[in-house]
Amino acid sequence: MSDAIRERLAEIVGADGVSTWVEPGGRELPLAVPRDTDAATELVRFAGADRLALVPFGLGTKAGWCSPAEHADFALSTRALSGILTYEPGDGTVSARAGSRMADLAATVREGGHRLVPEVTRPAEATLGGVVAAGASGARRLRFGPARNHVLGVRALMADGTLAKSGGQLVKNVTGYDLHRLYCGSHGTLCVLLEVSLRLFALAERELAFTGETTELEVALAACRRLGEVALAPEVAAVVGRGDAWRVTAAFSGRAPSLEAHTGEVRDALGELSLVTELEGAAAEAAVATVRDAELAPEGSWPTLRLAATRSKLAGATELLLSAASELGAPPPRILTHPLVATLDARLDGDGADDLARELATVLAASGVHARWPGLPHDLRRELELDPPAGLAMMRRLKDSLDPDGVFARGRTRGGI
Amino acid sequence: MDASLLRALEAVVGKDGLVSQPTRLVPYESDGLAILRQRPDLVLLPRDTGEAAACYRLLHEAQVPIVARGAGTGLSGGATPVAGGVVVGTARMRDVLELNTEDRYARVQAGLVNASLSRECDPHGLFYAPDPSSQRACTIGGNVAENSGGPHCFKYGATTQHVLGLVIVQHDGTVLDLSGPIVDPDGYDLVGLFVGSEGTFGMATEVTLRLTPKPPVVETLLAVFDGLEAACDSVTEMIAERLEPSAIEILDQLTIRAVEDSVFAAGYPTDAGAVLLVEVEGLEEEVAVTSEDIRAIFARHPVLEVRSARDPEERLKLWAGRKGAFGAMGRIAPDLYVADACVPRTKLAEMVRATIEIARERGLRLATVFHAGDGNLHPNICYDRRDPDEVERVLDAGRAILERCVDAGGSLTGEHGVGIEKLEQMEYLFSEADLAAMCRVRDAWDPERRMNPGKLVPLRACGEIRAAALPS
Ligand SMILES: Cc1cc2nc3c(=O)[nH]c(=O)nc-3n(C[C@H](O)[C@H](O)[C@H](O)COP(=O)(O)OP(=O)(O)OC[C@H]3O[C@@H](n4cnc5c(N)ncnc54)[C@H](O)[C@@H]3O)c2cc1C
Repeated sequence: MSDAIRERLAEIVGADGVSTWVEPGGRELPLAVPRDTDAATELVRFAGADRLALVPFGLGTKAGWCSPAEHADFALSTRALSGILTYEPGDGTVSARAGSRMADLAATVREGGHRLVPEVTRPAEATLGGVVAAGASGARRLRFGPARNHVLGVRALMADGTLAKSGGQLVKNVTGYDLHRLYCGSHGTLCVLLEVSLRLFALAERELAFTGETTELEVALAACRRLGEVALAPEVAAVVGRGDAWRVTAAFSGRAPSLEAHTGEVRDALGELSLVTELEGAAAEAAVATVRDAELAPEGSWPTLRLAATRSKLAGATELLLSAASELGAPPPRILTHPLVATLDARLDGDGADDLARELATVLAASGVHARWPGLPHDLRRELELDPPAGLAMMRRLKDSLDPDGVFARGRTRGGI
Repeated sequence: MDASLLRALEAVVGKDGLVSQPTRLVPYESDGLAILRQRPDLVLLPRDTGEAAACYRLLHEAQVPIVARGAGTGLSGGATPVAGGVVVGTARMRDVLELNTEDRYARVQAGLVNASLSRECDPHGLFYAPDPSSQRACTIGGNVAENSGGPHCFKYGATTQHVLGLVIVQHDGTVLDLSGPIVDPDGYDLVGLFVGSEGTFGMATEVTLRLTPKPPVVETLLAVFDGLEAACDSVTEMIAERLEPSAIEILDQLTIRAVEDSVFAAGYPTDAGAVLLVEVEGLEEEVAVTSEDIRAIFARHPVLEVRSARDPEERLKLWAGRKGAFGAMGRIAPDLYVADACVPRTKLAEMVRATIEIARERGLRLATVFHAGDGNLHPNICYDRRDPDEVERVLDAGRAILERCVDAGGSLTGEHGVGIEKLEQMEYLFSEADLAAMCRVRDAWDPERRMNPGKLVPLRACGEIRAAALPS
């Protein structure tokens, strides 16, 4: 079967466009890399006609956020469908093909004085389509909000092989349903994103970052809480570390005079930390990049546990996490948290990590926070992610309505969609 | 309507929650787009999610079309029951259910009037950012359904960026609780999809909203120009220089005069060709430098005067003029057709010129007031609905304006929605495949197409039966 599929894929995209993709979880799938929209369309039509299921993706940097599909016959990567379609510096918007790398886009719009948001990890590999499909919001979310807020419109390849647009390249627009918001974060289960338009932000006149160290997580979190009260609104207020080594990173950008006038308050807010360092320009950006990249372990794996909550609930959940680890005698988890956004990533390791995860899943569910387990083995993950997301029945109806034959492989997101 | 159904509905909402006398149904014949009217068979006013759900269940069993309604200030015919049926209004659902100042959110009933929310959270140093000019009347539910904007959405984003959760009564009366307010819930963004769905996915009964800290310093600038062109060019330059004020609004001469002759008189000079109202917010130093940069841009154009509001009273007055503009235009003509289109911000002056030309060619009077910073035009056509020939010319001009905007890379609506008004033009902007995707999504929410039928997605695309909407 797989050979026949490979043959057909090669007919559509050429033999050099076919290879193998190892899905997170280890399954090998024939991979087709179309070079143009027509070939991508034909791939989807082929899947539809032959009742096959395909997994769309970019370069797979965030494939691990999903579970492996229940069943998949081949993968379609948009990595070769790249390039900027229109960048309008005077309007502050950009449209690009889905395979464009985030770093390339950021470099282009920077020349026109713009900042590309979201700022995600592995920007040289992460594709625009993949970032949007994964709903990755990046390191500066505190200031710029979630990814879905910046997506102005998309052009997508639907399950029936038609091309459908939603939105446009306009900063304000309410014409028709916001299907692009639905696709954002849908992990390729509803369509293949081919083009995306984003709103851009002004590059700031000045950028500052502060880092400081502490041996206690509570001190680091308190510093972030104080950062939430200073006049100068932070773009980043994050804590990274484990055990008794915690680093707070705070970043600010804006007009030079206001940064100059208010850095004293920021220093006061960080007063209980040691080794407080002030960084400027490129060094400030590098400090933020360190926070951004702390999402991933050096070997490239995603955190075990990803929490989303409200600010007040996250504080309680963080305590639960640490106390559960110490009660079970597990090594202290490594943590990246943005307490003012109310998100936390934790990496559990050591022998008891699975038991700790099971224990945590129960207590966290009761604490009203939202837990995901992207870095766990998939069987364990399915066991822990049993409670269905709110609105699962509607999500299923949407999936069935947009993709009745399951052309886009099922079972990848929570609830088995 | 079937008597037993009526009795069952009355048992749910009580006598005060059911409107059936023909004279009392008249206000529900249209929204702010008075050019199109249709009387509903019945109006229901539930008090909470439970009552709304019970009404929807009964109407589902009887297969009656339903139109959700807030304050009826919509400008695209969204709340007009073109297919008859029942209007379910939120007028008795106006409570703030929870105000969480620590996590900065509020949970409110959908019928809460927009401006009430900012009033409620003001003592806590917070406000609700989206501020449609109709904010003293329009409801949060209506704002959600239209994804409404407002002058300050230039900085803060439209409604969708502020909605953290929803409770939705679905077509069959089941309740979908997505009340949040956790960031990034798992799975599809149903809340984001619902916002802007114009009542076609069901009824929002409760809304969780993000609250924003009030800015420490606000400066309001009024720049006076002898014509619209220079005002538009100044805005295009502000955007190109990536300046970030919080609001950028333009009013033309006819609007200025209407405002100054009305209770909203703001002190705009009546001999001006256009005024530009710009607000800058933030820290003192930031406001000072940004204002300075903006003044430098004004100076490069033929600006007649630049004024800064001296105190909060003057600031409020300047904004009351802008926000009262549509109301004030009642003085210059019996009816006003408020067009609403978006264009790239590099094309403001060109498109404003085009709208003036389109109105002139059809012998119509145009008053323009708009959210310039977002490229959201409101060319407002003055007319008298008793003159059928003029009504025809107005509708024709409306169509021509939208098509010109689409040709220039723009869209049909920036904030007022498609409703019935722009239904036909949806096919001008979207292909069959684009509309088919929208129809599929609509079918998932409302397989029987009883929720606000005849709106947003054209009938050819969805195979929908739409009652003819006739000018009265
Ligand atoms: C003078 C004036 C100024 C205006 N200024 C602005 C402006 O600056 N920005 C802007 O965006 N708009 C503006 N508008 C348009 C209008 O006020 C907005 O669209 C507003 O959001 C409508 O709210 P409403 O409560 O009046 O809704 P309605 O007019 O009652 O309904 C609007 C739509 O929402 C649906 N709906 C209402 N409630 C619900 C609910 N609970 N659940 C599901 N669907 C629902 C209805 O079916 C309808 O389709 C203005 C209107 C006027 C008259």
